[in-house]
Amino acid sequence: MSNLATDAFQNALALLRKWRAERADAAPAYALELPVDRPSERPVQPPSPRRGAIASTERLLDSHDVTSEELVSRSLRAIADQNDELYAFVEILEVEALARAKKMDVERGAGRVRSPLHGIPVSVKDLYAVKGGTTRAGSLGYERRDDHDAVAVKRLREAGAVVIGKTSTHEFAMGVIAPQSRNPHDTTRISGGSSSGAAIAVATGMGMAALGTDTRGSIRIPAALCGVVGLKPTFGTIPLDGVVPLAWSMDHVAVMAPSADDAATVLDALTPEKKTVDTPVAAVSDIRVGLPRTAWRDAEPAVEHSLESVMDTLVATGVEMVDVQRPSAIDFDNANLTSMVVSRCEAAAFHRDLGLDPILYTSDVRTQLEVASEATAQDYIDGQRLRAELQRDMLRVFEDVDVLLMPTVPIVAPTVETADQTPLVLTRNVALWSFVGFPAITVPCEPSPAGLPIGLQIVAAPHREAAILAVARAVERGVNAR
Amino acid sequence: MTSVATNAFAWALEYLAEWDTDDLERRVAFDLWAGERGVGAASGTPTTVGVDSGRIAEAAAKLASGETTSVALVEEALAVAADHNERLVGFVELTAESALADAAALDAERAAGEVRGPMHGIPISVKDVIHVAGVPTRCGSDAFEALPEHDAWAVARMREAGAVILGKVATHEFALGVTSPQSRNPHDPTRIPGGSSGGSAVAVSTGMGLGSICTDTRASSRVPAALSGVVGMKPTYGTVPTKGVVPLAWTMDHVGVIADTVADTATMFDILRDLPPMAPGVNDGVEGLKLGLPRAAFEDVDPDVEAVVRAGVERLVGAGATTIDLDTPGEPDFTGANAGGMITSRCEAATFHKFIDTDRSLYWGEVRDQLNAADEVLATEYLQAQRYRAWLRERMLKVFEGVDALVMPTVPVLAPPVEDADDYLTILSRNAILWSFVGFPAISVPAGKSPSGLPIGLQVVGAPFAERTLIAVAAAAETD
Repeated sequence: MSNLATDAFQNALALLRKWRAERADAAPAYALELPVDRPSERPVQPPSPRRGAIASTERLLDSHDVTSEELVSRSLRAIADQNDELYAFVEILEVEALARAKKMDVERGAGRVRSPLHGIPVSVKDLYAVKGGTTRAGSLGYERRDDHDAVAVKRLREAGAVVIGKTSTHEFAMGVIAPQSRNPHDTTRISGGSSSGAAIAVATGMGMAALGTDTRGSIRIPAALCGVVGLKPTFGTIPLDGVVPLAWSMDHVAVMAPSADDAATVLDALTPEKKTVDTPVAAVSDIRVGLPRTAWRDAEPAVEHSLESVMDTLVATGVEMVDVQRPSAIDFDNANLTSMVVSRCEAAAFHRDLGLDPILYTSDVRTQLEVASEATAQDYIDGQRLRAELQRDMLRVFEDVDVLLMPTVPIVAPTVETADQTPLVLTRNVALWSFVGFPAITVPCEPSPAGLPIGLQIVAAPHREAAILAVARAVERGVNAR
Repeated sequence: MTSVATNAFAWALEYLAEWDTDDLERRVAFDLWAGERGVGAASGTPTTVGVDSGRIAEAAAKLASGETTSVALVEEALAVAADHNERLVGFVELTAESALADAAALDAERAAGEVRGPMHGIPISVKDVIHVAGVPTRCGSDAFEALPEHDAWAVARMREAGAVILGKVATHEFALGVTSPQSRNPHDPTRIPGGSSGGSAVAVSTGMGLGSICTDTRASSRVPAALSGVVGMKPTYGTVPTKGVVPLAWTMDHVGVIADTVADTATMFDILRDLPPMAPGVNDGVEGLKLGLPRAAFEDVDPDVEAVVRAGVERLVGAGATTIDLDTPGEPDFTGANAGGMITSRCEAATFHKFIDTDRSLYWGEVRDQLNAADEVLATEYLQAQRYRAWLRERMLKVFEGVDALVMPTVPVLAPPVEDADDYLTILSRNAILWSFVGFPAISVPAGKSPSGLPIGLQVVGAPFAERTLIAVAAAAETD
């Protein structure tokens, strides 16, 4: 039994109890609000034509070179080939998906194309409700009969996407290891989590995009470790109705896809009132980039090297990069630990009501919930006050730069045996951004010499998804050009 | 050592523990505030119109005609204070010199043809948990003193509008109670005025100023207004910034107003908010409005209180409203809100109090007991209260799909004697706290008196952001 969970939590509580707000009357984050969208004042250029696997596939569907039914069949074959070994899918909706794909083909034949996602196979993490199905959240004891789609699932379906199955998750999303899943690039290593199945699926062609969630890194970590794009939008962008909660004030609906453009396409379908990818944005060379050097602390040489190449390429296209002092090591660490307290307290409240027999939980998750059940209301409120201060401080950072770049994860995928030691390392550069609710994306760079994926994280201020997507595209162009 | 406070806490925790969420994925209340909070607040200039009725309008007319001056109004207020303040404890800090100086300057402005609006030259008081620049804030406590450099946001707004700040009025310690036992009821000085804005109610009721800026977290503008025979109102949560208010509970604090009439109250609120004005509601009438009367709010109510409030309902019906008896909100809703509101507010308060370097041994016993009890509450229990709150809010929103406003007694009893105050911790706020917990606007208006001459308040509750309708009903129900 691992005491890592207990130790981590106790350390986090100790840190929080020593912390003092700058002002005695500092309000908790939930008594304030993130700034609303303000129009950019900088010169803009029109959006470039959509690239990416989904866009090319749409063209093939249009020209009848392929059908949605065929796309779904291909995905199902990929699942049949590799799922037993990698553990990506927990439920395969073969019959429903083929039927739906046929329907999408008929619609297209009759001239009705709902969106750029029309007929595209996608998967959803097994936290999301899919009508007529059961959600298990990676748990032995939990079983929810779903008679409605989750809002995010409904929106994808309305856009014409075809849901092919439910993907694996670390139990109740309460961890980034997902010990049952394996990395498609090296099956002696973890895929990362908690959206493990989503990452594996997109990396191996089991569908062309995936819905996951991100609370402390759960879309970005597996995306980085598996070599795909993971996008966590601004907190609150997409409703969480129908998603099994980990932490109400920190959960995000998030997207896994093969490229930045693909992620943008899916994001558009999830936000019907607001087309992110079509928002004009400054030319990449006009985007001011900040580098928080502390994010490279203890990075593996392969990670450093891979990121350096990408950054050199960006600089060569005229991008201006400056070192920034904030976020500092303390910021990252404060967020890493305090986000654990806040999220686990909320999880403990949820699980207390759920009333499952504790014996049905894995010991790691059970321990997390037990220690969180002993935290005081003041611990929780103080955690939310620390968060409010971090939000304010991070907003200030983005007054001087447009985006921040850093390694998503400072290491390559750990081996299955050593993974237990690594959760805090894996979340170290990512937890901050889910905690403050800012949009962040991870983009694959050059893999390690052993072929292990490495991700670059790009972060921007709230509602500036267009900026992170623009930089992500530039990174991809640079990487692809090599 | 157990006390009323500690027992109440234990009861509240138990009550909430037994509440079963209907929806296992019931979210917490936090995201209900997002997007609504700060709507219109602090976005620019207020849209103030003022009205023709009420004591502020009367005074404004006399100022306009030259019949009186702001200096004279201030002197009148000071004279009342000289006669009654020591006995009743309205003011704890009277800033007479600066008030007279400000009044003189405002009279000069008026003489030069500059009139800022309906509040120009009108004297008001400020509850002593709200900062006034250069004046000590003591929060009714021996343990606390701050000397603020800046006015609270609400105070600055009032000053910009030309109001004259007379000084700071008494508050239940740190606003953590509804009795204000250090003050006395002007209608019967053997009884409490109610709290926590006891000083505000005393001041307005006796004529020490024509209005008061106060706060309302559980019931603190409405209870003292009801017991002291004046109007007290709290707006929709988040519509008036609480910057410069010493916090009780970040998610429940509201800036409130106590004044003589509904018209006065509405006029003052229109200066504090940047939303469409509510004051014109005074003349809207209630023809065709549907009023809900929650049965539970009329149960276990002093017979004199019920009689007076029912008569108020009759007045409303006579003016063209229809009424409907309601089962929701029911007793469990009022009780649950009491429990959830106590846990929420005291946990947030205790978090604040942990860091303000005060000697808690100097706090009042009952206040200290509450904070000590709050120190022990678990995160899961606090969060349970937030989930309950989200559920309750949705439930109350549904109620307002069928009615335009709710009407009920503000306080179920008459003002209790001073020596019994501690026993009334939860009774006085019983009908009031639900509305602060879910953030709906609510107002108490004088509806009449008991045979023994004690004031009785009628509470009107509105849907979020429906303050104008609230004012219309309140104006039709209030008595002189």
